[in-house]
Amino acid sequence: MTIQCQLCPKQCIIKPGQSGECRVRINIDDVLRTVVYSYPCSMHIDPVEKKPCFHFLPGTAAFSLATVGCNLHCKNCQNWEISQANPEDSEAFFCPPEKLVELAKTHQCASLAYTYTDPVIYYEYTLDTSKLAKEAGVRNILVTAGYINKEPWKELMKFTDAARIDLKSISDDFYRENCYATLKPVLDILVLTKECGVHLEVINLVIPTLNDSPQEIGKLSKWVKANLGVDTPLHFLQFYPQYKMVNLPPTSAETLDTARQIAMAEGMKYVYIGNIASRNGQNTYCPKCKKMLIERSGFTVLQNRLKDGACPDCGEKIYGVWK
Amino acid sequence: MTRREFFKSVFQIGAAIAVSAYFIKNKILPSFTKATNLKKYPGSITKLPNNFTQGKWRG
Repeated sequence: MTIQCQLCPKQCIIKPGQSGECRVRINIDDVLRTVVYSYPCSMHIDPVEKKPCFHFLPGTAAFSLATVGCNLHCKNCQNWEISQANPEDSEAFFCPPEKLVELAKTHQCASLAYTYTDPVIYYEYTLDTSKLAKEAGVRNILVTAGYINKEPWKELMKFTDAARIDLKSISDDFYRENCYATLKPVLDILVLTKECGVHLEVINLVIPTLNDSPQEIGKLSKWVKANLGVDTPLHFLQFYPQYKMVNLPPTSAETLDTARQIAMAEGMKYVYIGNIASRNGQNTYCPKCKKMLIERSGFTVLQNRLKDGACPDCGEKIYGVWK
Repeated sequence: MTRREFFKSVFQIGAAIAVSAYFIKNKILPSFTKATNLKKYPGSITKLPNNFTQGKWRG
């Protein structure tokens, strides 16, 4: 008997013995099984700035994990070796949810980050671990493309502290041609995340000729401002030729600077540049008095002047989770 | 058809549409069901490391 997976908008119809597009949800004996529950392929301790989450417990460590698989197949995927791998060809650790939380606590990590591939496809593992982590006082960060149906996402949001979601483009054609997905479900999940009261940061990987025009950057910034608010941190990241997209050059520093200027001109308060060294694009500035609040270099916080989540000079409240 | 009969039939049709829509949403269109665990990983299993370094992966 075929089964239809209801986890993500792809809604794969899965024949017996086969998996969905994500490669990790399989129809075995007419039951939908997740083959990666408790089996991460990568476990690391990263600075939270690497996600990037700049307004969430700056300077802390995030115990980061991923399983193989992904429900998207972006031509420019930066982690394609694991995201596009089959579980049967991959090495994994055995690490059930309670062990993950224990490891995060043992290594003094303030949070668990479900990242590298996409926590959507190891949904049940993420959900169960998040529940335990929350009870243990460890925060949960989802690093995701946000390609998931609303019902499972709402359930996950109850235990999530921060979500860093890709908005790969504001064009549906881009999603269809480069990611084999569609735009609307992502926009819906971004809005839903905000409605759930979860800390949200948005990233946009700027790819030369595909989504780097000032018009597109302006349209994206306008949408974020109108639907998520001017406080939402927005990160423009440098593209680097990878996987099936090696014919394009890396994004120039000028293009990223222009993108930042456009978003700020639209009224966005916190706009950052990533994957590339930038003099101003990595620091947090007070939107009111313009003084520097958090100075960063790479993934390192050099200076954090915030006082109780506010600017020490003018008292302006800064969006984020600071303790 | 009297005015009373007309409004009665409009109400009946409206009620039938509402009940059908509710039935379709809750009974016919499937809702999300979690996947169950497959206890055995299909790939190979390796030992947990003693030290966890910074990831080479993006994100």
